[in-house]
Amino acid sequence: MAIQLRTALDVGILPISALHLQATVASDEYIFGQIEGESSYTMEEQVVIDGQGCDRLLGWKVTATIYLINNSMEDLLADLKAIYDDVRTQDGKRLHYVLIELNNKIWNQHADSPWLVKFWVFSEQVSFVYGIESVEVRPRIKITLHGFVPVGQLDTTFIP
Amino acid sequence: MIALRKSTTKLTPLTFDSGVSSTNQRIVDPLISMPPVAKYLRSSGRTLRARGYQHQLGKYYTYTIVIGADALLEDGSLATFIEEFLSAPYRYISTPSGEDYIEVLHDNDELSPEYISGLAQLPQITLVLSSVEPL
Repeated sequence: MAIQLRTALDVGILPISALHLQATVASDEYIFGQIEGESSYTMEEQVVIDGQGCDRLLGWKVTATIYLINNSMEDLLADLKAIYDDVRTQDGKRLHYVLIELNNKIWNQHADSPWLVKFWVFSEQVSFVYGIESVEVRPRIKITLHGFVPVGQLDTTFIP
Repeated sequence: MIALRKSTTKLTPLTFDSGVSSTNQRIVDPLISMPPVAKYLRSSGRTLRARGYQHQLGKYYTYTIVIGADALLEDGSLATFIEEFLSAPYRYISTPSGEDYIEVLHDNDELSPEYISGLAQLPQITLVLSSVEPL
């Protein structure tokens, strides 16, 4: 029997530190690095009940809502429009590449970070829409990602 | 586990054979495979003087088997095999896998998958089969 001992130090705090989006193989990859703490993601398991009352895992419904702190709207909206214009040309209007980067360091300082870094990568499985909402007097951009990843097709990279 | 086997010729004997190629037989872990249900074939009516009669002509089994999206996701060619199985001249099941084969008919006119949560990636196929031989 293998017993893995864990300590409190193994409990990582992993906010979303960056969102990488690439609309098509030929498109530029955009990295949004100023992410609000309120941003969230879920990977909700999709199951069916079998004849014995047990669950069968089929995959995960992926939802991410990303808020950008930075509200120099003109540049951001130009980038988001460029991504969406390319996405519209794709079959199914799904992004070629989505990477949700979790890191407890600022996004561009993790290269030499000893801290835990974890990526969730979704390829050709996630849609992308964006909008603007106001929080009190502050407008912000909201990016919503939706998709479904069947069992066996979740591409994850874990970098300790 | 259940086995689905298709054949262009009638099988004799009906002893289960685990060595049949995957082109002709698949062993599947179904989402649901309920015990067989007995169905009665009867001739009934009333005479001119209104006396009722009912003659039992025979009895056969029906099998409801649900092939879940998990099995179809694991084996990308399973859906095609099921289509070929249903259109084959002779169809056999072994349920549970290892039991003697039972020749079956397909009781539905169409193979209409159900899509879990409306997702095209998650088809689920329900087979309603009945035994060829009476009990």
